[in-house]
Amino acid sequence: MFEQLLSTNPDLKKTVDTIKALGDPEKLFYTMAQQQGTDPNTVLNLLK
Amino acid sequence: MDGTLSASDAIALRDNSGMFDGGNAFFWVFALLLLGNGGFGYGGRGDAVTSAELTSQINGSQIQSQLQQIALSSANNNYETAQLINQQTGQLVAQNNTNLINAIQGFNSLQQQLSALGAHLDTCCCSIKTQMLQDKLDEANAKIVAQQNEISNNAQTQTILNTLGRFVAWAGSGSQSAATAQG
Repeated sequence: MFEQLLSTNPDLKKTVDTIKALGDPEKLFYTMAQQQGTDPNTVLNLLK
Repeated sequence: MDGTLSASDAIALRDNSGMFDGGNAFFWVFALLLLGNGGFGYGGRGDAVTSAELTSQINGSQIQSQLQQIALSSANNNYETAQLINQQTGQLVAQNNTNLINAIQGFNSLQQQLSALGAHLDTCCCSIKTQMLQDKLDEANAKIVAQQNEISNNAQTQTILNTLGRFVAWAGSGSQSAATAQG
């Protein structure tokens, strides 16, 4: 399903490729949350 | 498929690690995308987000910019770390060189001291040898003198004996006239 999204959305694919290049999506997530001043649990709770 | 991605879908796809090596990689990518869009609870529908909504806001602006900043920050950190390593390495090398130079100088000093000691030993040894030779020479001379004296004494004794011998011979013949010395 997600691969299908990537195949039809170049911008999304580019973003995912960038994430892959940086190597650690979990670390990126927490880093961005810190930069934004967002509580990461707010997002994570949505995924529970 | 209606194009909707729910949270349960993300969780269900958590172990779909076709894109990344880790089993939870997709989960974190999804969380990252949600965070990057600054949104959750799209359209007041709670945890459901359509694929269109998810991709419509991923247009290379916000999340791309944030990811680039992270990458740049990491690169800067790596550069600064490398610079720091180079600086500290240079300091260590300089210190090691200084230590090595000091050690060499220390060895040079020690070598000089040993050389001086060696020269002293040579001098000392030569003096001892000279003294030993002198002692032997003196001893030999003393022996020579003693032997010379002995020879001289013996000669004198023999002379005396020779002289006395005439008297002895004559004394032995019983003649009083033989008491006179001959010679």
